[in-house]
Amino acid sequence: MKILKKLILVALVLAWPVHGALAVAPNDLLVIANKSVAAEATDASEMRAVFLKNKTALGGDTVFPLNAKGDSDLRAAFRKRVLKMTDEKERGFWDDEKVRKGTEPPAEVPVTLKAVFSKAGAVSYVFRKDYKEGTVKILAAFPE
Amino acid sequence: MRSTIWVSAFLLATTLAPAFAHAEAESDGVRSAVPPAGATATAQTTSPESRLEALEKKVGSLQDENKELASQVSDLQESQSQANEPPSELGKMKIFGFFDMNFQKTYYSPSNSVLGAVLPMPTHSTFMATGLNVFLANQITERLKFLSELRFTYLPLGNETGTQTYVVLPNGSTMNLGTKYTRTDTTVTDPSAQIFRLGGVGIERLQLTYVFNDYLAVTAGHFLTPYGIWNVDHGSPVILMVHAPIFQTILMVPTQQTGIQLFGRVYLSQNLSLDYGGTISNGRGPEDSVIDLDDNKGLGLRWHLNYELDDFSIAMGQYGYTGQYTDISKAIYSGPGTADSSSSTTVTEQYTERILASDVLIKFFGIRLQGEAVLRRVKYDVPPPISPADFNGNPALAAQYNSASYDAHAYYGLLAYELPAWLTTSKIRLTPFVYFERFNLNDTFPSSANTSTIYSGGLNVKPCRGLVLKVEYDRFKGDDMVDVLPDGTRKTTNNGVGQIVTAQAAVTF
Repeated sequence: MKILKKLILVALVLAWPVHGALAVAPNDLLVIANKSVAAEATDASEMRAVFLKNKTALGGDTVFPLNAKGDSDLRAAFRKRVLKMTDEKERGFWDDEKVRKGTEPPAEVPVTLKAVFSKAGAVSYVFRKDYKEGTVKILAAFPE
Repeated sequence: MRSTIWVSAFLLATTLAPAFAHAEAESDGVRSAVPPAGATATAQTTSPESRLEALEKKVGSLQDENKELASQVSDLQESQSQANEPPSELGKMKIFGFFDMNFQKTYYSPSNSVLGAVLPMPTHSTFMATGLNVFLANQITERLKFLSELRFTYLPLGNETGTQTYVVLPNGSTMNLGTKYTRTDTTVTDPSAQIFRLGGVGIERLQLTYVFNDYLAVTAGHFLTPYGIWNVDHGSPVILMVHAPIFQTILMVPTQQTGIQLFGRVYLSQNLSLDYGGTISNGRGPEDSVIDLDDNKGLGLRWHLNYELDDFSIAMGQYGYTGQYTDISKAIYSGPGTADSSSSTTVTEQYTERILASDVLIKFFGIRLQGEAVLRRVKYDVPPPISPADFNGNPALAAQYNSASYDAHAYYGLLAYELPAWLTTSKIRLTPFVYFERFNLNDTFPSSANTSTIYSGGLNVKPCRGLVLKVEYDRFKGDDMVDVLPDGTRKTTNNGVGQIVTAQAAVTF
């Protein structure tokens, strides 16, 4: 009987992290920053401001937003979950900003994780399934 | 017990086997060079002390090797980082811009309305390519940016510089107000006898901006005055309508200034931000983008509050400006001797102006409600010169025309609605709009050109990226209160109504 109780206890303990893992889906969108950025957390409105170039610093550090390629699923997820814009709206916004302020959109990179890892002050986003532990800092997560 | 013996034997064998193998390998390497007596020496080196020494040496060499490998890994990581680093945009010159083409027809009622002569809108149906704006932008460093905007235009070709103006007196005679109709012709002939017409280039913006942080940035050069909505939106592809408000077109507020602009933004909460700024410039003058003709700088202050949610936003702000306009003439006097030579500068026109421009923009679920208002107060210190011939020597009329000071005001409201995507069943964005404007540009000299009301309506269509199509109807009516002669002999004039139908295609590239 004692052995059975122990087995149940062990099963429960093992089941706990499994339950936690169900909350983190592979297509969660992670906002990531180079380790040089001091900020530890951010939110959608702040990221929106950074990626629309209305804000240039996070936690006192100058940051450089890097976008995924315009036609990628990753970019589409960022538009939907953070910018709250359609593809067409985002393009229109930058066309207008060029006329208003001469400002261009953030640079696009093929692999955001590598680019953020390599560039001091860089901020971007990645799907959780593509995230590599220890490479960059996670500032926020937006579930699928 | 038996199993213990077997395990001990196994361990002994596995421990000694490499030693035997090592010894065999060493002996293989020295077999031809070392006499058999050397075998005794080899056996001697297998003593614990010598083995320990050999192992220490080996550990040392392994540590050195490890350091070397770590260094190589570091170098590789460095080179990999450089390979992964996003392509730098720094130092690259970017070229982009916009242009627009219009088709316009203006109707005046009655057809001989004063408005037809006063306003520059053509009375015949006209295709117009008004200009090409080309931007050159360079992000020199992460914080330093250069921007210029050049406007290529056919102007000054056809620019009307004067209208011959008469007043019909009660006795039937006409009085010329001292003006004549003039128009610029830029036609030239090159040495090969080819005739063509010159155009012009205007520098809309020429500025260098340094961003210290979000709270402070500085722009030096020739910049857009940070007032209102229309002036900030600036270009035809961004602006919803075809025709700009009158206060914009007649430069009631200086559209651009040459000097320094400080600006910044602070986030008061997650969704609320405050933009602020100040300008110091040459102010307004006949050549203010080149030279200031007085020491009184134009000063401006700006605040702008923005509250933004997903489907609702409200922004409001003000820009206050004060400055002095000065025009001068220069003369040189030469006497019989060098010592008698002198020069003088005379102020020919000078006034001080104070301006307050306010704006508000509310957007919710596709609805756009926008308004701007401008108040301007002008106080003349030196009124513009009038020759005795002007106004046929009528000093009363001249005095009225040259009112020492005046106030002006203008305001508009714009309501637009971007139809939802499900209504348009495509990616085409349709935005119908209605507009109302009222202005009085000189409260001491009301005329059809100075005091008018405008009603407009139209449709803004964005069929694809980079192209905006607009159709617009404008109806404007000058107030019938022209008090032409101070003696009361000519109190009112029917200035009629003007109507404009315009189609525009605006393109960004």
